[in-house]
Amino acid sequence: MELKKELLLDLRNITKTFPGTRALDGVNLQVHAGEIAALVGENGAGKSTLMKILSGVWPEGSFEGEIYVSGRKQNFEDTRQAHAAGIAMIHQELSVFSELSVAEHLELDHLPGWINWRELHSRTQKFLDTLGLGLQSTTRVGDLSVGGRQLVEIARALYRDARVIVFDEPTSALTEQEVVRLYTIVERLRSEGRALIYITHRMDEIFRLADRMIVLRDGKNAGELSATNSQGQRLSRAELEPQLITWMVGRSIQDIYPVKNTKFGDELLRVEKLTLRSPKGKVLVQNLSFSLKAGEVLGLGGLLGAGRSETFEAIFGMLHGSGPRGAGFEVSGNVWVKGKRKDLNTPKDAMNARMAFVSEDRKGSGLVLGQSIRSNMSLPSLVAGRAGLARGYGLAAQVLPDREVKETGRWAKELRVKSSNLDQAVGELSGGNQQKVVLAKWLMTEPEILFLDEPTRGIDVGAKVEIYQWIQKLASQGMGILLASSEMPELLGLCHRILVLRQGSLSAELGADRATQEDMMRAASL
Amino acid sequence: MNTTVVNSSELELSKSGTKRFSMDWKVYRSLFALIILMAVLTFLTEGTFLSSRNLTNLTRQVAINGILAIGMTYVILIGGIDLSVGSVVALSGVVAGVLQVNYGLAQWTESQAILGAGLSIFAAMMVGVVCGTFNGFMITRFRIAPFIITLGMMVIARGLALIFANGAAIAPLGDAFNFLGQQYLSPTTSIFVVSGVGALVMIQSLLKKGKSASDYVFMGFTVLMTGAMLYTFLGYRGLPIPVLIFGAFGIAGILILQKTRLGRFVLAIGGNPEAAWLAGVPIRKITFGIYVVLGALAGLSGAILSARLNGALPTAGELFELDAIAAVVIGGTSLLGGIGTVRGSILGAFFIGSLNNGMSLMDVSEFYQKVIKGVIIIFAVWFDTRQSKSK
Repeated sequence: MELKKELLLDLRNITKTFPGTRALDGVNLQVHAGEIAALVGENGAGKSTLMKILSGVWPEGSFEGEIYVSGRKQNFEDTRQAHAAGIAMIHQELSVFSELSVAEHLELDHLPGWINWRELHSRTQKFLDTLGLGLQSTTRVGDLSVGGRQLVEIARALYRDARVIVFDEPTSALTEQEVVRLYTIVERLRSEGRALIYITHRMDEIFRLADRMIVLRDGKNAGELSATNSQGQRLSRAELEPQLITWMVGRSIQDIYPVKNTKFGDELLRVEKLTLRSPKGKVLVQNLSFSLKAGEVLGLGGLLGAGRSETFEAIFGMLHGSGPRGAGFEVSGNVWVKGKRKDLNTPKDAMNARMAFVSEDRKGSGLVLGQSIRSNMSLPSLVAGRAGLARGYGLAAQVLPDREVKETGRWAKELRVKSSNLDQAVGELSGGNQQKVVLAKWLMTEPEILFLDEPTRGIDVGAKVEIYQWIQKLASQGMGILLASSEMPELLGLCHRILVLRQGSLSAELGADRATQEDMMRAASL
Repeated sequence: MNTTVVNSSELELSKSGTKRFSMDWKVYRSLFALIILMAVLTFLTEGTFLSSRNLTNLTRQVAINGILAIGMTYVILIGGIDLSVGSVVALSGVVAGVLQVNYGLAQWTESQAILGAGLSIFAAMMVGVVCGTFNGFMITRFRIAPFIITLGMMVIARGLALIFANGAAIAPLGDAFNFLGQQYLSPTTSIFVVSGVGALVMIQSLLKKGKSASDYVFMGFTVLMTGAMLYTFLGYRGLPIPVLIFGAFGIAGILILQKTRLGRFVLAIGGNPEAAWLAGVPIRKITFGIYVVLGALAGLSGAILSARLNGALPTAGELFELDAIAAVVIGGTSLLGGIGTVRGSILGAFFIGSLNNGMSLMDVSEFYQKVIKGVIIIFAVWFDTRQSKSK
């Protein structure tokens, strides 16, 4: 530690302006060889813009400031030149071509016009063997899991012998096992003397991996922390986190999790022996039974693929044959809502039983991205006939625009959706604001039972805290809340009870007061 | 206290309410394009284009494509496509023709004549409904791409039309039936209908609270259009029946999309079917219904077309599907679904109709007409996408 390591990457005074906004304002970023630098900040803090400049997406001349790699000044005209200088990006949304083989991906930039397949495969396979990631050069990339595809991207960066590697939210779509493997790889790359920039929203990752944390806020350097003290000892999360969050959000937050609601009411929902089979016959959820009281926040934990989302989808009628997922899903089991047995075949049935479902995938099933905040917010209420948005019956009912503007405006204000106006397309909003729109559209339907599936995925700390507060507020108003999350601290901090799923069945029920992350981990993976 | 401190003054509160003085220029862009085209055609034909007689003919020619384009707008809005409408026009026309000629309904007289005509028109529409039902059923139940199903239907319906008609034209049809395609409302009735509709639209606009700039532009446009229609129809023989039908469906199509729950559902389905489904929208029912309605409209168009020609041709309606799709796209509707308007499609239908009509007036050979039309359609859509991107 005493030896000053080589300064591999040095971004000096980077300023980038877009019409109307200054995305980056004199940002500095230095990364040394053999170092993992976590780049943190809320959405819109300028992380992506900075990385686009580093990778040559924004060419020389479109910004101010200087880029030095190993002490030499760089003028990237395009991404190719950034590649040539040894900079590689491992993207959040992996840019792979599913029909091509691993070998073709490795040589994508310089595939010859006439390909000698045998030579290509032997050449690339030899290289892959040295990596020891278990990749085969002939595998079709589309056949790999998300984690596998990410390995291909990493292999591609190493094939070019990139010395500066940027990981942009690399774990957001990985299973726990894949995450563990990724950590090992990242640590190996560090020990090989590469400079790594790691972008993530997950705090536990930052404290586990990073040597240094660089915080951006509103396009400026907000602060920088080292993970070790002057004696070279690693500092604990508790010592680092408060300062980090203060820099990120620009104010201090004493506790992320608000006080839990303590008033419980009658049983709202009871599920008995819920079983779900996929069209291919795979059991996704097996014999799951639980009940939920008014005012209670019930957590649903477990590893990726344990059946959390599937449980929600099955109860909510998402998997009915007339939906876009198609026929073939088999759901069995009984559902009681406030003591009455209900057949919930379609989402509409569930909505009539006063349920609401904030789904995991905002872009996939949460929002119509091209449409306005107003249309998005009013859609489920129009279906369910709530909030007085329409006059008349059936499909021909007339939408009342004045009423609609008033109601959606009220909810946008309540949830503090930041937007220029209600006619703005939701696709233009930040992740946190999009999530607030999803929450608002469901709260408008006046639900009694609320399903929240990963409600804080990919959103910044400020918005996260606001959503946590809403969860407790709604619970104290007597709503029953089912919360699925892959972040264990979130479940422990918000829920009264936690159901841990493993391979579709209930593995443990834990009281959140006494349970620890270790308990949950053990129950989830056993 | 264990609660979180959130300083609300730091968070920008959203401004509620909608844009007050903004204009929906996209709609007017199609309108300007149409006006420019009409001006050019007027200039090139030394004014003939703008005569009442020619404008009446133009509306008659536009009516059929317009009716199809209204239905097609909904199909494209939900992310679908229907290539079979042209063939369904032919098939339903032929079925009406067979009833009229082979079954002798054309010879029925007096009050029975009207019954015969009604039966023929009803049969034509039912043919369309059957074709639309087939399309809708296959698409919703078996999840086969609409492009494929309706392509198949296009070939099947054309084949059936040729079979029923024995490959030849069926003529002449009865006068009562031909009324549908050839007759006019009397000038007096036309005044009442046109100015009545214009007045209703004006009253609606005037009653609207919180008028924005685009509302005033719209009112001006309404006055202008009412005037133009009165000039057109009174200067010749009155309001043609096909145009009356087109207008009725046009108004219904606009209102349903803009004002009703169904309209919202249609836009949501096209924008993101997963999200629409999760929000409780009955996707399958609506998708199915929209294909059936477009089928019925195609059937009606078939009846109108054969009535206008006083004969049913099994080869009629060729490429009508493409004209309808072009009208929808020129009108600003996205082929990906979720974004678009019916009024845009109506303007698009007039754009294509004017192009056809103007070139015929100028005696451009039909071969060249096709080339020019294709080029202009491509140019119009290219211009439109370029404009939307730059926004």
